[in-house]
Amino acid sequence: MLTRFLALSALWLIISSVVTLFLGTRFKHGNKLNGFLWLLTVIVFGDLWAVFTFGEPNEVLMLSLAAMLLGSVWILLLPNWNWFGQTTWTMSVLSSALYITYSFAVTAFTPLNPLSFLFSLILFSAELLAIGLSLSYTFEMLDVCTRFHWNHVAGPAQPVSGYIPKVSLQVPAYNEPLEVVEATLRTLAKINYPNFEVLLIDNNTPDEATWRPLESLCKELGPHFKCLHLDKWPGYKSGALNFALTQTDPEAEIIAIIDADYQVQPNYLSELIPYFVDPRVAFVQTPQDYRDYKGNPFLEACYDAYKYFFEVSMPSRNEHNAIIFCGTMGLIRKSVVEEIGGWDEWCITEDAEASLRILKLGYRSIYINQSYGHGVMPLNFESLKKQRFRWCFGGIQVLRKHWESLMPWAHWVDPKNQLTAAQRYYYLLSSLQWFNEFITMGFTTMLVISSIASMLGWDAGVRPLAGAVAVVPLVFLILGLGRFLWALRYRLHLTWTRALLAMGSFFSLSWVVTLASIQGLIQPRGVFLRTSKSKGASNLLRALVVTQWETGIGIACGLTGLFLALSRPPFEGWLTVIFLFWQMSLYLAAPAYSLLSERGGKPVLVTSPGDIDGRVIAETQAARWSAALATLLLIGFFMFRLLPQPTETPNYARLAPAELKPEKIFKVHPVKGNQGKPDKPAKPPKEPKKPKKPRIQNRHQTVHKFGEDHWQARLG
Amino acid sequence: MEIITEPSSSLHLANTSETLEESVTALNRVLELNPEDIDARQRLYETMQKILRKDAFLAYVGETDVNYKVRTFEEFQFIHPKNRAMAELFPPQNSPPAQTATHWLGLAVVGLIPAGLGTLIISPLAMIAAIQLLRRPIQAIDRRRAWIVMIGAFILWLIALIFFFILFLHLA
Repeated sequence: MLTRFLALSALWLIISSVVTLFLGTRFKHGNKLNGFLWLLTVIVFGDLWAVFTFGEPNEVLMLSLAAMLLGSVWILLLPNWNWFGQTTWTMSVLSSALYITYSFAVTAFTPLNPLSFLFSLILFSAELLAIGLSLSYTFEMLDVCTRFHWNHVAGPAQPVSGYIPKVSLQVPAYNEPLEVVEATLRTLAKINYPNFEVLLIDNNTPDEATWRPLESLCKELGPHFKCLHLDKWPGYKSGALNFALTQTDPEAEIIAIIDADYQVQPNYLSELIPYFVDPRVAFVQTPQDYRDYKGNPFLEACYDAYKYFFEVSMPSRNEHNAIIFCGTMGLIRKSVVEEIGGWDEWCITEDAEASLRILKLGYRSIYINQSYGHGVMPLNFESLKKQRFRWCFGGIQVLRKHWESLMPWAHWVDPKNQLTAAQRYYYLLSSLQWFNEFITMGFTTMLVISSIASMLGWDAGVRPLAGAVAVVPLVFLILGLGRFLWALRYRLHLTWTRALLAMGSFFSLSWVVTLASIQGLIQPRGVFLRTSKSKGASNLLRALVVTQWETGIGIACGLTGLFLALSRPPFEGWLTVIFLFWQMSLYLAAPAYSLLSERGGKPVLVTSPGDIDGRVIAETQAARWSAALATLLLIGFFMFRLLPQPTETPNYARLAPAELKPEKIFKVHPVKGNQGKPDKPAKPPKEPKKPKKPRIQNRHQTVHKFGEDHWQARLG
Repeated sequence: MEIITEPSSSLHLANTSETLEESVTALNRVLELNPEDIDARQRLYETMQKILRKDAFLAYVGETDVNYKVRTFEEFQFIHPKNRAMAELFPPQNSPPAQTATHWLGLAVVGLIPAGLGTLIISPLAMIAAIQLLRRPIQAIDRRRAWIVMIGAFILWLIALIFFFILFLHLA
């Protein structure tokens, strides 16, 4: 029954998702009646297939009623989504829940020795987390692509007569090239707002020749430009910004953080400051936009990947007053920064961490989806890796520090914590989502190990990757990729090629995110790795060296997949081949993008000193942890093989969900033969021949044989 | 006759100082006695701006919860108050009362992964820690934390029992 439920729900998901991908963004209206009608249509289509295929009308009816009930709840809870979004979300939740149940049943009741069962349970835990994260991505994409009514999009702020609070524009800089900072400061000088100061905070730049010209530049630009060089200052950027609070004009009410490479539009303050007339508004964030990227495929891909956050994630979060303060191109009330005790010097994403503490106090935030400034992107893959490492590490730090505040019971425990349920959800998810790549790495390792074992004729020793356990995740994966491309194309108005390149840019950073998430868990403090704003001479060899780990993993997956394909595996084996090639493309995206980054011209001309490459990521050290984990998996795998697998079908195996034959799923049954009656039950499995001796001579062969018999029996 | 208190005399001294460094020293003395003196803070800010206009260099010497200690390029050392509330330090220097119980609860969650074996052992420890916490005179927030640990650990223990039962099936 469970298998049939899963198959039916997966079909509903496929129908609703495919239609949503084609029509989901076209309908800018919706009502409950249409929602129910579309839900019913999807259910009926699936039911027709299910009744003719399985011939179990009662089961089909039961699941259909459950789907209707669940769908009704979502239609009522998500009144601002169109009907395609509501139904796709319903089916995503239903199929995920059924898959998790199914997967647990397979894990729990497949005949395995105890160690293999323990190992399979670990895999199941990872699967549970991965499915949960996948649902969160789905929600976010549907929320912005199928929403027809936005409740919290702020309209243009009207200037308020007499409200011209002083603004302190703070420009943190570390070892920045003069040309870059000069361009930034000169655009700030053109800001058409009457009451502001600019505070350039240079921290720890080692060479005096780099920062002294900045001091002179500030003097040249006028009295409201101030320069502060902080030497041997602890706390990285946060430490410098905290001291800058003491040198901020006491009359200043608003602080604007501007990265040293950002060229800001003159209307930045005049259009945004009026939002602060509401004393509950603590911060306003605008998108971080970039310049000089056109014509360079690497930078274009990075640009689109960055933009995804500001076009998909932030609008979704804004609907729930749960946006992140991203530092640059954000404005924040000075009194609030002082109230929360300044920027956190422990956390390397101090801006995002501060926004969580601010929202805890019950303040409001506003996201304005209009670009007011353009910065420089990391110009090569190495710099991009450093930046992503920092973001991920900081995200995990936020989780370590604030996990208790994000729990469902947080408000009951601490009544001062005013985070809403939605805010807790978004902040918790934004930290947990970083672990997705760690899980991917775990799956990759398992896939390679079990494929090699399978080719050598050994029993895999873990839950088999066959049937629905392989097919349904593949369906989830394909639909997930489709949705991702759909969201990229719709929200960012991209061509197919650019959407694919942007997606590849995300994938290329999988390994570095894995490393950062491991380090974030085990390392108490982070290293602030600055993103390089200039590009050195083109160096193809270095481009490959910085992605050596990704290349190695990608090649390992590819070779394993190739050998498995050459061994002409059965149907399930081909699914593994597909997964292996998919993982290969994921990891080989890194060297591909790294090489791509070495093509194209330099967007920023740098001739002055400064802008060193920054400290190199301690990748080898972090990778050692990953290698150690993989070795542990390998040792575990061999240990499991030392214990014999069960030689007889145990009683509990009857609780395992039955498998469906592929031809049963893909072909409609002839109704004549059994006239719509349920299929005959499968023949009981043949009793495996008992070994003559109690001690198994060739354990592997016996176990493998048992595996074949067992699965043949289950396949009917 | 007007009685001049020490802070006001120092403030007066700061106003009449010939050099910026002398002025800062006098203001430091005022703020040492009364860190909330708004006039002194404003004067210190203005004086600092003059110093930084001459030379933007400031080096870190040290800091306390309320003050920075810095020095200029010419080795002139002074203190500057932090213009912000005291932030809660992380990781906390003194363990909060509920930390032990919460740690056990976290481990109990992880303990679910190996078929609940870890949770079966750790959950009772978390419950014991929570009970011990409830017996102590603690704040309401810690009392509520203790209850969360108690309930959470009990639920986890029940889940672990189911996992263990399945493991037992595989052992049999």
